[in-house]
Amino acid sequence: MKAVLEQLQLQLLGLGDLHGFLELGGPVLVLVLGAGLLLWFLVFEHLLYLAFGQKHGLRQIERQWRARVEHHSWHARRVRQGLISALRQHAWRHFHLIKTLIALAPLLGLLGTVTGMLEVFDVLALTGAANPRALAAGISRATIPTMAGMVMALSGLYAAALLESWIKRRLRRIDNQLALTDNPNATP
Amino acid sequence: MLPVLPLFRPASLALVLTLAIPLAPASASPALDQMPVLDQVIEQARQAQAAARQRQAEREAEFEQQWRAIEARYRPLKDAVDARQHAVDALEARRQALAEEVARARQALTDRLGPYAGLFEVARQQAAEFERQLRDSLINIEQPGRTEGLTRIAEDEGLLEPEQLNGLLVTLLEALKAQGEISTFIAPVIQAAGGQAALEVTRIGPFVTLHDGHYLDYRFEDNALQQLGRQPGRRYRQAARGVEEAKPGQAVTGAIDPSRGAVLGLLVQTPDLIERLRQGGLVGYLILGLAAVGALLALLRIVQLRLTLARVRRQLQAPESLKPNNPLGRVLLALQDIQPGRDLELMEHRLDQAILEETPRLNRGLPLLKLLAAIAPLMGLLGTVVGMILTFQAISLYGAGDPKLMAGGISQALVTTVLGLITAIPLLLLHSVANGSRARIEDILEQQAVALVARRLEGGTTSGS
Repeated sequence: MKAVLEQLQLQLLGLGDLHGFLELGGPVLVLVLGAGLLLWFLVFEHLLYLAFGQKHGLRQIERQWRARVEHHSWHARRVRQGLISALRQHAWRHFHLIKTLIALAPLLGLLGTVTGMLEVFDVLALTGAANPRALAAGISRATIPTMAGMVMALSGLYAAALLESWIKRRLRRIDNQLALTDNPNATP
Repeated sequence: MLPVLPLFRPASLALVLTLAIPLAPASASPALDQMPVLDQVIEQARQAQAAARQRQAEREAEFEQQWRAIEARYRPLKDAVDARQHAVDALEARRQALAEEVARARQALTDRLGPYAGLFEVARQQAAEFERQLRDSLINIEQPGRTEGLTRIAEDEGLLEPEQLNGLLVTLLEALKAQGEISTFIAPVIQAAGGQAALEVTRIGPFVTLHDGHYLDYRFEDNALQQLGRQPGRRYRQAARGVEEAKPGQAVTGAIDPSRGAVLGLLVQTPDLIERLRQGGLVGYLILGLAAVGALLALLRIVQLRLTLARVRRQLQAPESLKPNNPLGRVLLALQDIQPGRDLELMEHRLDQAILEETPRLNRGLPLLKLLAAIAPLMGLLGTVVGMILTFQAISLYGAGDPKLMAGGISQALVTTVLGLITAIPLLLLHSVANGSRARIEDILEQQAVALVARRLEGGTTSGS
């Protein structure tokens, strides 16, 4: 009785269903989910960096910039560019991977479609078209990964666009901030 | 001529004589002394006739005697046959009488059976139907011989014994119980490698048999279990193990084959990876070759770029000792001979040129990689079209009635598409990784190299002044 109750609880929590869902979607769904997890991990990593990690680097750069005696010569501008570039590199790091993953998501979905259709035609070849129920497994393997790929691409596209605009705005602000720290009264 | 004569009939004799008569005056001149010769011939003919007649009489007598003897033997036999025929007729009459009696008795039986006759008929039908259902059930492995009683009931023409009727009920109830239970027993199993072994198997109703986490197939022609050449997914094998190891009364999750073996049978027939690759045909192999080339190129470039990036970083940390083994070192070395305080524009030109020289080396192979990643799905499309051509050829030859004939072309079409996609996806990812490294190195060269130079020049001027 207790065991049955535990099973029921698992079902209610959706843990038992995830297994079934993965089984229905086949191996391609696992791939899509893996790519999706990687995508969202990278997105959150960027968000965390922008929210907390960048402050440390920014403070260092500001200190270096303030330590300079003059801020207007060619040298100074080049050095400033170099300083910002280090920060910029950090901010854009792995962003290209996010974009690639988003571009790959529909391809992965298509892969799922084709492998599922392959299974459908295998069953057709073995049993003939008389039994449409036998085709159900292949059809679910064709449609579920496609859907998952679409969901991943659409959600990732939105997240990446937001993230990109945030990074750009942040970098522009840093650019301005460094220029503003140049106190005209301090220069001789 | 004379000795032959008795064999002739008198008519032919007369013929001979008439022939002889005109012959005599022609051969010899007519003379009176020839007359006694003629008489003599006539006398001889007469004697011969008499002898022939007598012989004829003797033969007739002999035949008469033989006929009598045969007649004497035939008569008793004829009598015996007639007697037997009478007996047969009597028996036939008796048989007919008896048959009528049997029919009357049967009619009387049916009359007296009344509603019970239908009952026996139903029992017989049920037994036949039930036997058909039980014949290919895998419970026969555990309980052999349970269909024999049913067969006897189904084929029994006469009245069924109460014991037989009870037996039918018992078999029904036993089957009912066996369908709902999970039992473990020892049974012969045909191994995948061939050969037979007695193994402990677990049976879930009439649906599935398990051994050591493996699913077994029931072959009712041999009344034997067979290890499936291909097993279902890991989750189902774990479920099978769970069922086998469960204690009585414990609730576990298990998997059954509701089609009683048909689904598991299909499992064995689905092609494995190698067979799938073979389905792709020539185009499939081409895509695989392309994938191998692309993967090699990508890995090579990624390793090279990573090493370069690491060297550039190290150079960035130690700007004092310039090494020519990395792009940043080479760019900075190109500027080394410029004196601090000289024309800045010239220096910037030099810098740009040095960076421009480095870019192709960093970029090498990456466009090809992108090209391969773009070609792979196109090759897949090519395979799809080739497969569709094959399919339509099959259709034009055999018609669209049998989907099995079209399956070959369709699987080639789909397999090549799959191959194209699973080539393109990793290549795109690898290209993205390599391109990321390249972009970072270029960014360092363009932005941070200038900063380094600027710092150095500054340092030079401050130390120089």
